[in-house]
Amino acid sequence: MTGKPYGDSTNSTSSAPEDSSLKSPAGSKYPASDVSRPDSPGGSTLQASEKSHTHSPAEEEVDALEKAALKDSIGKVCMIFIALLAFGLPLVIKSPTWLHIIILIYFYAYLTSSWNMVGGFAGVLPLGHAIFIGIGAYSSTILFLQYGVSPWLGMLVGGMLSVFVGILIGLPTFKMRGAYFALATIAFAEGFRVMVENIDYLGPLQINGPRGLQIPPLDIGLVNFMFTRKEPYYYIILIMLIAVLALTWAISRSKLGYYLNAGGEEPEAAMALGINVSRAKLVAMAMSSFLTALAGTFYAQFSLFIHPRSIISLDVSFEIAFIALIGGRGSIAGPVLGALLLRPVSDFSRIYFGDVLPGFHLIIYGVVLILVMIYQPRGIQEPLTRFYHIMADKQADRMRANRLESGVMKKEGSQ
Amino acid sequence: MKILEVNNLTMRFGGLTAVDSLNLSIEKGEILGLIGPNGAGKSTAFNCIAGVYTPTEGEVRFDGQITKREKPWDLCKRGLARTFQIVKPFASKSVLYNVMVGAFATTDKRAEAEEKAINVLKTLNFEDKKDFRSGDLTIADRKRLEIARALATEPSLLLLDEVMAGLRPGEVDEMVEIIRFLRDQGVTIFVIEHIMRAIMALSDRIVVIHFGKKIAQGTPREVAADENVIKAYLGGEYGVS
Ligand SMILES: Nc1ncnc2c1ncn2[C@@H]1O[C@H](COP(=O)(O)OP(=O)(O)OP(=O)(O)O)[C@@H](O)[C@H]1O
Ligand SMILES: [Mg+2]
Repeated sequence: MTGKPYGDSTNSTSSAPEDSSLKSPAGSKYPASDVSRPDSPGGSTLQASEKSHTHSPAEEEVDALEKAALKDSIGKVCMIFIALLAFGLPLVIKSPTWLHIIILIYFYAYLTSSWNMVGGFAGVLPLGHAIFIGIGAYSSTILFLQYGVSPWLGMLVGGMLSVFVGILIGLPTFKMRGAYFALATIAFAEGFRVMVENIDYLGPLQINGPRGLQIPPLDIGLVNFMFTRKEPYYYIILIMLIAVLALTWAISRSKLGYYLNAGGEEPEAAMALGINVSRAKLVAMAMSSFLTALAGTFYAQFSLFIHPRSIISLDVSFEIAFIALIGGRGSIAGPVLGALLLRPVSDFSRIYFGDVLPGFHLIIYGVVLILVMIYQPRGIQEPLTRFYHIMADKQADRMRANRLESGVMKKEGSQ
Repeated sequence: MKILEVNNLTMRFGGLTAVDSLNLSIEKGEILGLIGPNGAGKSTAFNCIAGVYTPTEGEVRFDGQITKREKPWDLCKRGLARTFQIVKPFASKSVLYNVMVGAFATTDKRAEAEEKAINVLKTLNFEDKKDFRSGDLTIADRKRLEIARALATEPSLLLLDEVMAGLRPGEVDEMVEIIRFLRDQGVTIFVIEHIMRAIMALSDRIVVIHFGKKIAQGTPREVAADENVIKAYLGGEYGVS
């Protein structure tokens, strides 16, 4: 993950105890804290000499592995804890308003994670992802209203259509750099919105132009992806979010993830190393478009009303990018943290300033973005991940110390 | 057997002929040096051979096969790797990550790529820095990373574009050792270098170009004694850099 500190960085002169625990990456053979440093003051020298008299280098290695394993299980426990918390939340929070707000947080975290596959890993800045939300929402809704197809199936159809459109957009635009690419994606999304707004019928399909489509809540139930309560929506989007995070994690560790990162950072070098950069980006775009379209269907079923201005709007496209940039582009946790931070800002500014200052939340986003870019250019995920690693390291050390102590006592007892 | 044949290679940028009817070839297992004053067209020749540019005229044959229309990544898969004069590390990533990107050229499995990358780092005596952020490396180490990444793709021919520029004398000697070692491992080497001491010690043969044209070729001794070469380097506005 991007937030992980690498071994001793250039500033190895600083040697505070916290610092040394920070600098030891999980996989490194010799954590910084185990290397004796003559120049380091008091505490850590003591620690080092203590170690060197009880441990041989081989034992040190075993120690480090043991610690890495411990840290690994600490990570797992944390993850299970968070998952339990998320799944149990509706048992505590009963208010539909609150659930609604949380559902939208997950929804945006999901959207941003999907966006992240292109915007984060592939290193380009798409600003028109709302087009895929629109395709997803309209596909499933039209299929449901006119042909009685379950939105679950419509969701897949929308996903497929989006892949097609995503590749069509990606083919010419992935050759462009920076702002040009961003502008091109905006143009496609806006073009699509204007088209939808001006088409009442597309052949046999009723699109209804600017008035949008309403889904009458008649056959409530899982098959029709329609519920009167918020809880089912909560669990559906939660599961979707977990799935997309798992997928992102898998990709980031796979060949595709390496290729996307490399191609995004130094395309020429990547090509020389055997990477067809455009193709890797297209694969990412296809996945991203597909996943984003699924969210479109979710939104249609959640609000039971879609119209071009709300669903294919630049607002949504920009909000996704804001969340990604502020949370931490190209990281797995970034989109979730960004959504957790920004969505409430948006909701509350709409509640309190909505009438007087509509769009105020975007200004707040702008300010937050500037602050984050100045102080944490890799997003708020970075300090948080660092904090997590410090805590996990401390906890692992504590657990290991306890284990050693009880081991020694056992030995003494048996003698 | 010839691993690389360059026939009548010409590359023009608008009105400028950067490489002019260049002919050369490399035997398997050889170290061939390419030298010439600044702007002579050395890097451009490399870029044509590696598939970055489509030559205006002429052809390049790699491993017996004409490389027309082959892209850099295709050539890489066929065993041609190169480094860049201006190093291009994936700066936000660790050294290991960088080298693994190269290793993925020959495998789809992450564990295998990591193992290959570690092996490459070990051969280059670079393993101790595997967790360093590559953007934080010294120049010498960045050059070494360029080589490590290229090697991880398991090339049969390696193009090295000034991997010793900016290194201290001790580091240059180390780099010469590394390149010799790679040749002993069976990698054919085509090397651009300005540091005469190094290129003379290293190369089996040397080709000299000036204004895109080949002006001399032969053993280091022959080339050093060549009148045209001395003129090209000392005459007019060109100095040895
Ligand atoms: N992409 C390009 N477009 C236009 N001109 C170029 C391009 N690349 C190189 N040139 C020109 O071609 C000539 C040869 O450049 P090249 O980089 O190949 O020289 P070189 O021998 O590698 O020089 P150096 O020793 O300084 O690296 C120069 O005059 C350069 O300005
Ligand atoms: Mg050059």
